[in-house]
Amino acid sequence: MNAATAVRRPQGALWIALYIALVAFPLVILLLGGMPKGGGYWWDFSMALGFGGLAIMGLQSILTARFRRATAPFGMDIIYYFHRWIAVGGFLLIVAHYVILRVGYAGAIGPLSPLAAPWHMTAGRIALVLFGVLIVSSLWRKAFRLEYDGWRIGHAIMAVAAVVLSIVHIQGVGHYTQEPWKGTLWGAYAALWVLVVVYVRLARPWSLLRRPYRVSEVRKERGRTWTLTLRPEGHDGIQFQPGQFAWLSLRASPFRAKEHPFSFSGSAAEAGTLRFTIKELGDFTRTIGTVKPGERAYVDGPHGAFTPDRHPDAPGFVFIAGGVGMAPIMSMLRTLADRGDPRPMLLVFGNRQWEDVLFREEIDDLRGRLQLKVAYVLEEPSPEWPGLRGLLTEEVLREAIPTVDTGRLYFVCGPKPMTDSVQRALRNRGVPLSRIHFELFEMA
Amino acid sequence: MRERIGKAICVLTIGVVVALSLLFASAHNLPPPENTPLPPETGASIAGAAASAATAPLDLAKGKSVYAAQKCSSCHSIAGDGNPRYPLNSVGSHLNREDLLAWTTGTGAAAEILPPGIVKRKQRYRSLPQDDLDALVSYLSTLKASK
Repeated sequence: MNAATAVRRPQGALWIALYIALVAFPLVILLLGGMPKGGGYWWDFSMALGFGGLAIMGLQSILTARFRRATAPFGMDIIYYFHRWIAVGGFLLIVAHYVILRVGYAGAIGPLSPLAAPWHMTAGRIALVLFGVLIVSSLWRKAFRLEYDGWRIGHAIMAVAAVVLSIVHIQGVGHYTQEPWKGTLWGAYAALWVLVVVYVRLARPWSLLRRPYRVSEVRKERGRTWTLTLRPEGHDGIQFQPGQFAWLSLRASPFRAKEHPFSFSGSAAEAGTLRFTIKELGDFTRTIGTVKPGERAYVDGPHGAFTPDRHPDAPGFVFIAGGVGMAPIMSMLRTLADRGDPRPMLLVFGNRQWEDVLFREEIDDLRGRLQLKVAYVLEEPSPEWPGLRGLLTEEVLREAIPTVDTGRLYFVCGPKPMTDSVQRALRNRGVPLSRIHFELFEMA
Repeated sequence: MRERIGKAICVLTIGVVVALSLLFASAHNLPPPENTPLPPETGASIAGAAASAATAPLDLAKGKSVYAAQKCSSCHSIAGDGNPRYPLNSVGSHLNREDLLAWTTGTGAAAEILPPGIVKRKQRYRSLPQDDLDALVSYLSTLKASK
């Protein structure tokens, strides 16, 4: 273990402890001081679950606020996955809150009809439904064919509405927040949520707006892929680590939240200049080729923990890429070459056809500058192709990597089925999980 | 690796909330207080108590309907039906008609004891028609602890 990771681990634990403390905060406040008379075990249990569930839902905006210091020890991708998993957990707590009351105390929660029910009970019910809609529309966004930009805006609006309605519900019921100091603390807690939303929707877009970039080159690459080169306008730009990514806004103000995450593909040693290599896959990326030099862009980054720079003591690297998953790996290779890195490296690169192999010519060039071996694997090669054929399955990888060096670091980037199968194959051959690195973002 | 840690922390967080909720529920419901509210099975004898009370059945029915119309059960319970926090099971045993009216409308001695927010909430019952209030108080005074 090196100094950098030694510092990072306790930092990560600290952020996790802070998160759990924030979730527990409302319950701890309620436990302190004079307690209102109990209402029965299940009644009070249900109330506490409601508070806990709402705390989780309210803190969701902090998780995806992209605070760089707090997310760096983990990687932004895992934070977004965590946001997803914990949402289901928080929702189940809120559902349990409701079900316990519905089953055990139907008389107390009164009529369902909004015409007959008190407004704060209706607020609670609407919030419950909204939380459900939020989760279903997010977990199955593609199945519902929801377009990404529209979904994102709807997600933010529904989330704020659901949390505000929940706070209205709690204030309306008013039982636990009667004591003024508890009311004040509860108010401060709710204000924290509001501040985060203000930061994410106003303060950060504002700061991005003041650090614009201009597209200086749009280059057609192999395999329906484009590389955009961006230069900072009136500022020094950002310093990233190879393998990291940023949210890119093109043809839209940062306030519109029409941004998309892409990996840097250029060298981190190239001061100021940012390169993104993007394949035509989705609604937005299909239009990449129409971007013209001179257009304005905004960059929120760098983010992500998928980088060799966090492991300066690694004895060597194995890079395994599929298709446009080569973009962050290319950034690593270019950076390591610019730094004159002497460590041994192996690149296994899967593509459909020889003509599609992204950066083919430059990879040849890099072989002369690095201790780099390359194994191409083609899915649909021509009959005379002398190399490996098929997908990056366990058998193919056995040929591409005849001897596994379990001390090296493995960086894997590509479509999800590929990263899953590569991870399995490497583990079966004795590579510890802690040495296999991949981004969890889906490529499409 | 990171995925596993992430899932573990997710489970841990939910576990902390459930554990704190259990602790919260236990802490609130530990020792039975002096004036133990009647358990629901005792409340079942309320009907008998009501029958013996000198309240006309019509008045009683009207009182019940006022109780329902004003959604008293969102804060109170009778015989286990409604919000268990403030049971009214034996309220007729310890309060006379005058006190019952004061507690219902948040006036007099009740205004001193109740939290301001609740007094404010109860204010609206002052504007109920007099015979509705009378019927409600009559109904409440029939709620007596069984001997």
